[in-house]
Amino acid sequence: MERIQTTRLTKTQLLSMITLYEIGSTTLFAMGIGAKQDAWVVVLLAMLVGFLLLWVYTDIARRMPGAGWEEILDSVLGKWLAAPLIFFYACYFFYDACLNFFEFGEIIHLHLLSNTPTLVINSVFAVTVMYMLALGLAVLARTSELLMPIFLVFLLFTLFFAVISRHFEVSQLLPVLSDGMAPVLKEVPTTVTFPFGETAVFLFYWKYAERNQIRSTAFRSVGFAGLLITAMQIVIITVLGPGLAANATLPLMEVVLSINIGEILTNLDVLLVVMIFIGGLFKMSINYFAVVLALSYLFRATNRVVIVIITGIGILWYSMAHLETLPRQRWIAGKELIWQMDHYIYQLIPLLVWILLVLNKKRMAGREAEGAS
Amino acid sequence: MLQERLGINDDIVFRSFDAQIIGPIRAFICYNSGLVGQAMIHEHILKPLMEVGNNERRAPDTSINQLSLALSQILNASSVREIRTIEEATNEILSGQTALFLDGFDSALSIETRDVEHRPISEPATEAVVRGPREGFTEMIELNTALIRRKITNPDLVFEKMTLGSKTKTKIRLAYMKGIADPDLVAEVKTRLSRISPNSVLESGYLEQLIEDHPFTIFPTIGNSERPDSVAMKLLEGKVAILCDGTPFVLIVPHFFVESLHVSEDYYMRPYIANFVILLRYIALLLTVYTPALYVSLTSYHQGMIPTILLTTIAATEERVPFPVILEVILIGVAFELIREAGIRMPRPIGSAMTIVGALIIGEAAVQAGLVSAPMVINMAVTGISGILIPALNSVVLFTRIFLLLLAGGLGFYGILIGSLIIVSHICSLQSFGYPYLSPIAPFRSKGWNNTFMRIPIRLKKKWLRQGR
Repeated sequence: MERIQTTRLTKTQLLSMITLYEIGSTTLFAMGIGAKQDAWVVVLLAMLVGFLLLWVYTDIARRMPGAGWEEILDSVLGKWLAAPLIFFYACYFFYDACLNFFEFGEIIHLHLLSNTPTLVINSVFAVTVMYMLALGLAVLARTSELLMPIFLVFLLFTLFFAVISRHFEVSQLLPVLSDGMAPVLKEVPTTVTFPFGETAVFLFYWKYAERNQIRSTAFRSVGFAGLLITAMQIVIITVLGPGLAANATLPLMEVVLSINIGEILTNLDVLLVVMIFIGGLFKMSINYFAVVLALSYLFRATNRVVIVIITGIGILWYSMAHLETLPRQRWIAGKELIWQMDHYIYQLIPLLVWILLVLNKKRMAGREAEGAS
Repeated sequence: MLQERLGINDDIVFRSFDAQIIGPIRAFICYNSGLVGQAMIHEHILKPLMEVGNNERRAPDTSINQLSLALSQILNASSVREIRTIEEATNEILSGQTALFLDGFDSALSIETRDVEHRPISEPATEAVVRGPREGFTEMIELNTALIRRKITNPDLVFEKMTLGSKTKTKIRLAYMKGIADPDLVAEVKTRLSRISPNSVLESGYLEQLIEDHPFTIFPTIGNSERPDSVAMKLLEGKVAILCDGTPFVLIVPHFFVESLHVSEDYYMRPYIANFVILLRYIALLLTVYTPALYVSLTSYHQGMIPTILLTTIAATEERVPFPVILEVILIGVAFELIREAGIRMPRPIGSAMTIVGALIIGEAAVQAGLVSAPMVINMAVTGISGILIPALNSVVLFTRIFLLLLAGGLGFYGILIGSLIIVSHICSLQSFGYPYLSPIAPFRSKGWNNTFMRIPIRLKKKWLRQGR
């Protein structure tokens, strides 16, 4: 029995948040499917590149412990440059949350409640998430800690059943790298961005974790999530074949529906729906709460609940008014807008800040050396 | 003056006599006839004082100031205390002491003569065990502290005294283990108890509602127990117990959610069966909360998820029923709660007859009459019986079940997911005296798992704890 500070994230909480965030909405896609049967190679390579980014992100946290991304930007770039940047980040994660939110609503509409209007589904979800986030970061963290085991058990069950069911054919993976590395390498950048680069959102959360636990926990959970995503791609390809995997709206759903073990274990789509629910929920909530953190820093808001509610209504409104159907969102609008900004969000700005921090440190060290001599 | 305050009460006795202390002095005693032992007064107060010639030898030189000293040598009662105000005297008399007034002295004596009739120690009705001690707390706080003390023979076990209730003046004892209990926790409990000023404290439930962290939640954040062994166990874990005079229910803080799923017997049984029973309780919790909601969502929204053969059976029986499924569930649910509540309040012999009539006859007849379907009755029976396994969470289970049921009726499986999420995030936000309510699941601590999902053998316990740290 011990008292635990409610504003700190424990190791397990950080681990489960990152893992859930990483796997999050990847259950909806076939990642790197442009490389056909080598999609899993894409994921693995992307994970390695993602580790580089993650190293930079965690190194920033190591260099400025106890400061959130917003404070780091402020102190490194100065007030006038930082404010619009923080706002830019807020907008970006707001858009990301809207995407997650929208996809989630569409999928529930398609697979569970085809007669209920999307507005109802989305509003109910928005209110629930608002309630959860209004209770604070500790509740978000504890909920993720509680739901991650369920998520993992369901995911592993799904993969296991898919493997032992009769549609599983390892030969679908062959030949490995038939067209050389070119198609694989072409696919890697997008996969690096989504989902691995997205860990940038945790720049807002590092300050709540214990400093010496950040890096090991982050690498462990991203590695773990990456392997699970790879396993998912392998199962998708081996069960569906590269052609069907590339064209299905929800590849994993097709996999789950194909599971039939002795006429008893069928219709397991409920497992997948629970997974999509939990994954989508945390992907969205973590983005959402990052927006709340950024905005409350920007506007010096003391009452976070107000920001939570305003942002929540904003997400609901934006995704209902501006986002269109699921395929269009995924293949056209997404590519136009979001893929161009990611590089700034995920790579350029953090790298720049990191370089500045390194230079700063050197300069400080040099100055100290001068002072000493 | 004392007579003015207490005279109209029939149970207060005034008795005057001449005390023989260096010559006769006018004296009177005053006591509450229902709370004292008459023989004790006669033996310990009247006899020593009234026997002539007995006292000169023992109290050679009594000045006015040394009243208590002198009399404590004469009186052979177990505890004698000097009192100075009328107010004090009134309180003492009402709580069962005898007050002795002597002519010419400005103070009186309060003499311990309490001998209250009380219920004998018996097996508690709420927490019955197959294996384990069969004694339960009674309504007497002195006896209850003794029961705990007998379990923990250790000077570190502290009972702190308090009095609460401006009208009832109820005795409260705060029990904790010095050195094990967190001093901050003890201080927190004390401040919370001292901050409240209730008119009356008739049961520990009064206190519970006044000092709990979240008055508006359906989850109990303060535990209670009727069993000295489980209270002792919790005290040794570092918790604080609040005993209240007049009730066998002792409050224990902080209280965690998982504790509602445990009984002290888990530790007395061998680990295999104990772990099995704990697992069973978790399953029962899930079953009793989710069964009705899942049934409704499956039959009215997602028929595709039911295996075809089962679906045709259910559809065939549901066809004859005039109500929508959700209404049917609510009807049977209400009927079940009615039968249960009636079973509790009825005198015991009628209770069992009631249950048979309610469960067997009404259930059977309702199915035959086509008012409800047979799968529905099975489903509600599973729900009800699983609920009985976890009596500590009775109200929680009832409300979450209704909540999920309504959401499932409106939004199907999606509603259940949303409802679960709301419930989960609500539990996650709760605290009990500064400790997270869901500890040790969230925030996760491997050390606490010994008592959460499993009960590891006692032999290995020490090793496990060392590793867990």
